Amino acid sequence: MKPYKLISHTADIGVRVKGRTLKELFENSAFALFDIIADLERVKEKERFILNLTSGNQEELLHDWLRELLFQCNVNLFVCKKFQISKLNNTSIESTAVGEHITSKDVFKTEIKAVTYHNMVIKKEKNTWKTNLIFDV
Amino acid sequence: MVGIWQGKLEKIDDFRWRIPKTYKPGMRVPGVVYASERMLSDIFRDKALEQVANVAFLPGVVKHSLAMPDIHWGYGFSIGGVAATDIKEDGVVSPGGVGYDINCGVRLVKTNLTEEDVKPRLKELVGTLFNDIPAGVGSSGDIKISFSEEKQLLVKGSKWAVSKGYGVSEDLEHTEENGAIEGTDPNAVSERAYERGKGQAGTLGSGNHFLEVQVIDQIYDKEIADVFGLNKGQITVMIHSGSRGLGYQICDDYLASMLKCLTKYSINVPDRQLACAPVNSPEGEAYLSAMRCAANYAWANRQCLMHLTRMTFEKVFNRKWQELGMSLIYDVAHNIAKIETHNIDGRDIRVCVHRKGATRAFGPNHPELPVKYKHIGQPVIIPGDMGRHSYLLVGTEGAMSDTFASTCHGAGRCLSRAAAIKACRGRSIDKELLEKGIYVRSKGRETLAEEAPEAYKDVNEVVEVVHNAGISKRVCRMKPLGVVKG
Repeated sequence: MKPYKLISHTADIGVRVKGRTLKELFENSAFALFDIIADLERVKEKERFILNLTSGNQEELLHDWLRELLFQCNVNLFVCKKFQISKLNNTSIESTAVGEHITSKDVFKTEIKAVTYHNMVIKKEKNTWKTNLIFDV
Repeated sequence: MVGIWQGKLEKIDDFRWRIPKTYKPGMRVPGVVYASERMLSDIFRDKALEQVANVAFLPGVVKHSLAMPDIHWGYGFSIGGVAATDIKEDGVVSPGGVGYDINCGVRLVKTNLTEEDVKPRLKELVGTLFNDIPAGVGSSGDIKISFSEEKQLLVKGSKWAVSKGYGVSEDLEHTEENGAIEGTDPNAVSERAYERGKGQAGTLGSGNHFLEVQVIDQIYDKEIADVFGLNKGQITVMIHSGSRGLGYQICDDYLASMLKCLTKYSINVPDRQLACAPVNSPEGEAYLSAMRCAANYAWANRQCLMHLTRMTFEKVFNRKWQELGMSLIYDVAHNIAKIETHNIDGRDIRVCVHRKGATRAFGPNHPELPVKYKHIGQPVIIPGDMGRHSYLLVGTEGAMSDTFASTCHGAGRCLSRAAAIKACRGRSIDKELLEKGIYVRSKGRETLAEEAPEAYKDVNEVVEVVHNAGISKRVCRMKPLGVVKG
């Protein structure tokens, strides 16, 4: 089962993501992003991309992290399918994204223009972390 | 009427509805929605009307916050949203009022071919267009440009393309702003935006972008159609694309920086996506000059795409494009913010008009119109979905006085992409279209389902509203024959 659900949004693509930990929520969010962009079954875990950054708060951190991964994909055609987060707090992340540079264009499914701030709130309910993300397509 | 939006609309007339200023404390002006009564149930389905009300909070907003009949839920502004802010009265500019795809727009090219000429060679023509025009996710083209050349392109727009041999000077006369808006500043564009735009000039992109071979199936105003040289049965080509990755990145960059402006300038808006800054602030000026760079990129892009189209027609029909009569009718932006003069309550004032999924529609005799179109008004090009129709209209006096010279921009989505894919599961959209005589080629596997005709409102209804409301005038209608999708 996929670690995210598509939610209805007229113009764009929305996903509802959950995780048992904040780390897992981040990893599942990135997975959702790339699962929409590309056919991940055809992407190999060949290369690693180290991404460390800091941001103003939890939501901005998730937004900026996804935005950075998306930039790597849009410019360098680097598609990732696995994410390892070694350190995470409310304002900083240390992570490694694993995937490969794609040469075959038909691996791509959907062009995502941007990760938006739309309704982006990270919540913890009981033992589950949740957020909604809207990708502009 | 049951929907997501639970507010109340007041009927103004058969095509206009008001969201009163009292709907939400903080609204500076009322909202006005252009729609027929029948269309309202679709409009109530998402939160677009709430966005129309939210836009009415923007500092400096004048007269009304508008929604065109193709309105649907967008980012900050609704798609189909129009608002003008008085730049002298601390009026603001908001990147959410333009959108990610800056100067997403459309151009219409005529030919002297008829349906009979094209029908027997339709598959060959569409197949060649599909092969020769770079499209699809992250597509890059053969037009490679260096960093310094990209800077030139951002200033000169279509003029850059024409100087490289991708078109003729007549094309520029028939492009909004002559294909190069002034007031750019290439230094306001981030390195990342340059990086994303580098390989993408002359590429169609994906999603709702397309190139369509069409036939005119209906003439509404013979006199104006004659000025364009358009007749029933004639073949046209429509190109819909924008500023590609460069524009997306500029929007993304400035949305982030303008969030901080809300505090800096003590601006109170009900939605962070309406992040904005006064037009006359350093942040507002920087955004506008970067946005204009993206607008020029988009005009150059569509100019290059038209050039590639002309070359493909030459190849398939073995005649020069000039002999095929492939001149440009017009090119117009759908997502842009422009500083214009409008008469508000008897006074000419300079305003920043945000058109987010809306088309400029200058009426006859506007000084910015090309000589050939001065007496008829500005051409307005409205693409529909790939199974129904598209339209050519002209701007009117009504648009000048009522809508800051704006009208609709397309059919407008009514199903989300996910819902469209679900509705199309197990069906073959390309076969269904072929049965209707429309040959479609698409790069993306899910694009056809996402873009299926039923995902959109009926463009005929949308156009009927803007025509009957007097904010633009129908000239002719085109039916798709061949479609290239990204």
